[in-house]
Amino acid sequence: MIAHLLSAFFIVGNSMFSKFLSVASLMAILVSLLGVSGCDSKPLEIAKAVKSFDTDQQRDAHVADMRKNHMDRLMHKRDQTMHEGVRTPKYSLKACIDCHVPAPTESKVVRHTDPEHFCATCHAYVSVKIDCFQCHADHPDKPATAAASNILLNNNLKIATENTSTEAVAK
Amino acid sequence: MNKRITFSEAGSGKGFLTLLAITGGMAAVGFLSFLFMEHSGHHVTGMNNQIVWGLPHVFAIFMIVAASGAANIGSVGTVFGKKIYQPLGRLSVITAISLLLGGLMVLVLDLGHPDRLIVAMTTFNFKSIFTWNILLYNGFLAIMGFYLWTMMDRSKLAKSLYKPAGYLAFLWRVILTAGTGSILGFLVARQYYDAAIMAPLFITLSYVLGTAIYSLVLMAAYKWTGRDLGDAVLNRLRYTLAIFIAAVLFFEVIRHLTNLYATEHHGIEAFILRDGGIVTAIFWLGQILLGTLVPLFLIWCKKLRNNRKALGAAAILAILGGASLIYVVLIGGQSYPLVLFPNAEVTSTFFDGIVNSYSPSIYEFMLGIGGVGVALLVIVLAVKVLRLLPDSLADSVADPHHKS
Amino acid sequence: MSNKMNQNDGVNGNINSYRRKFMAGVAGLATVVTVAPGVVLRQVQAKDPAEAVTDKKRWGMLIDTNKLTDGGDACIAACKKEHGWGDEKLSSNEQDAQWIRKVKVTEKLTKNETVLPVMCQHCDTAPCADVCPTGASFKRADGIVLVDKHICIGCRYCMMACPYKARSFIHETLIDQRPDTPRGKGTVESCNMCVNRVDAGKNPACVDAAPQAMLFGDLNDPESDISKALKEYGGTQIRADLGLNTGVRYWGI
Repeated sequence: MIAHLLSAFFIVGNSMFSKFLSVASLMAILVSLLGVSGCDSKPLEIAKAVKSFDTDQQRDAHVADMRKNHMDRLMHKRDQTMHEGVRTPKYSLKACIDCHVPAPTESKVVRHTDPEHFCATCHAYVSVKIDCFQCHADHPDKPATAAASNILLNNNLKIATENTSTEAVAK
Repeated sequence: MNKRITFSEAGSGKGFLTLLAITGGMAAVGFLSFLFMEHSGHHVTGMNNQIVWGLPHVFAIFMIVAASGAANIGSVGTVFGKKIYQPLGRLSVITAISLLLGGLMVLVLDLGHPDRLIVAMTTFNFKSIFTWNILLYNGFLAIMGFYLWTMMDRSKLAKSLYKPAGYLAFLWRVILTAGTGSILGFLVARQYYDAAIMAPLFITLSYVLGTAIYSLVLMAAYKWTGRDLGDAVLNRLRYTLAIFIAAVLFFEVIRHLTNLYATEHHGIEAFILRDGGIVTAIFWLGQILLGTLVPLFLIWCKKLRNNRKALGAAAILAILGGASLIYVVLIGGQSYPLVLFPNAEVTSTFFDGIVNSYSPSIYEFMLGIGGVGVALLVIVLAVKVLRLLPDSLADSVADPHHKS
Repeated sequence: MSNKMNQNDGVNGNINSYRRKFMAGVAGLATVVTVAPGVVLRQVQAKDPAEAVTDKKRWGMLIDTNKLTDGGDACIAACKKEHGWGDEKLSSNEQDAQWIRKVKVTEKLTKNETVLPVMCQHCDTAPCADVCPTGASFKRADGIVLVDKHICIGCRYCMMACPYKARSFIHETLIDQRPDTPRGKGTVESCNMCVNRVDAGKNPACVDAAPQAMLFGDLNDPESDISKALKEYGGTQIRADLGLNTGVRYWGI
């Protein structure tokens, strides 16, 4: 039966060979165009981090490690935080965002859809789509004074607001 | 001894291309609708936080249940050794596979995160009947493929495995439909579900839907390929259909009587049977009158014996009835409010205590149609490239008891 | 800014006095250690952030509906502020998320009315976690029921299974989520008992918004305020007939 199927395929292939060739060559041209367009673009400058390390050595080690392993670090920490409640700042996505994405100002909020967003810069360049920011905040919280304006406008609340700002719980 | 049965592919031609265009078009419509829903989010659908499963789930459950029933034709031939059913087995298996594919496609594409299918396939919670169903559906596809191979290959090995494959397929099928019914049966929170009878009800329903769809596919295929199809085969299908329609009616009567006896279920029963508006109308008109009583009449009325139009109409109505049953169970069951406090009226900003209404959007309907399109497309292609249809199913060929 | 801080102090002071009254009123058992005026030692101890949660604790909540004069409005507002829900632009009312809601219950015969806030009840044997195909719905070791949105496929089976209608599905793309509360399109969410605050040793936002009527604490610790209050006076579970052993208990329903 399989032999029969195969032979049927070849017969069809023969009679449509010229058509196949034209489609294939068209595809080849399109794909090569894609390559040309890729060659032209240069990656954007990566945004500077807000905080800096004590020594250059520390920074270089961090950069080297995170360039290669950030996805694994984040994934590991993700499950630890979610399921075990481990909330150290190390490898926490929130800590990454707090340092690598500028806090919103009155005029500008940097979001993951903007090319200058720290994560977006590389991810757009290498065409790797991430869905972190479907759920996670893609920028640090607004400064405390502006934070209340968003949701609480029409709530005349007199409730105790404990400081829930973004400082990570440090040991 | 009846004549040797030979199988062959359906011929090509305008009819084939037309079918291909229609079913492919349906599938394309479904795909476009999926892209739109996935891009926008579910706010473009009629579903909400009260009616969380809508029309796509009606389509999906319908097709998944029907898939199991369609394979029943093959099982009757293999497991119960009925000779007349054996030539029907190949088409039966293909119909089952294609229906399951269509149903699963709708189910998956309606997820909030269809992009995480790989998560669903690799991360399991074995306490969830859903997880078991994922395994059962995948297993079903594999086993049906294996079963089809034992039917079609001429090697000794395949022949020797035909019976075991048939038994395995039969057993798997029953468990699969029980599992699908249990998706609703295992919900303690909802008044209309939470009952073990859901499993046998769905198993029986699967035979109705499967037999009805199979009969229509068979009649259409034989008409359009110009092959002979005798009354003997069709009458078997006709009575199979009738018996299972009656069995579904029996389970439904028992289910409602049980509910009517328990005071805590009076509210939901009054809603479904009397006060539910559109749901009540679908129950009485769609499920009971058009979907059960009329097809039973069409099949058992003596004047309509051997009347193919009557069988076709009965099959279509049985499909309508089955779809109505699933709609009433799924949408009706969710429309009725959860009981937070028995014996009390409950109101809130989150629609507690009120009957929720559901009006499906065009996108949900298109997605469902897309699933049906995919199922039919697979059948059309399979019939074209594989030797599924016997050259003739005339009485002299197919009926082992035929006297010429 | 300094004005604001002073205001906050004032409110805190009020709340602490409420809390003292409530605790004293609760059972007369609770001994509240005051270090300085207006400063109360917390029952809720911050855990070491590097440490995994264990089942030694089981977090729970007690809500006294009689003392909740606004029926829970302040709690709901505090929850919205903490987690940022209720702001969905494209969704219809029926599609909007609601983590906590005010429910009015009128007994059919007597017409007796009760108003109470209803949210995820943090069941011990949570039906949502049972039915979830991927294990995205789960109960943390310390009894808090959560959705792991990383592996939630959006099938909504948990919403079918929840007897309390506590869960919402997100129907649209969200932006500007609260940094401590990730939530997004195509996933299911519900009250998380302010797990971020609890892990930092704070009370859930709703409890801090209505301290006169709500207690939060460890149900496994017989010496906690909530355990003592529940031992003395009991506490009602919604749909206790389902036997889910909820973490949220009520007085006055």
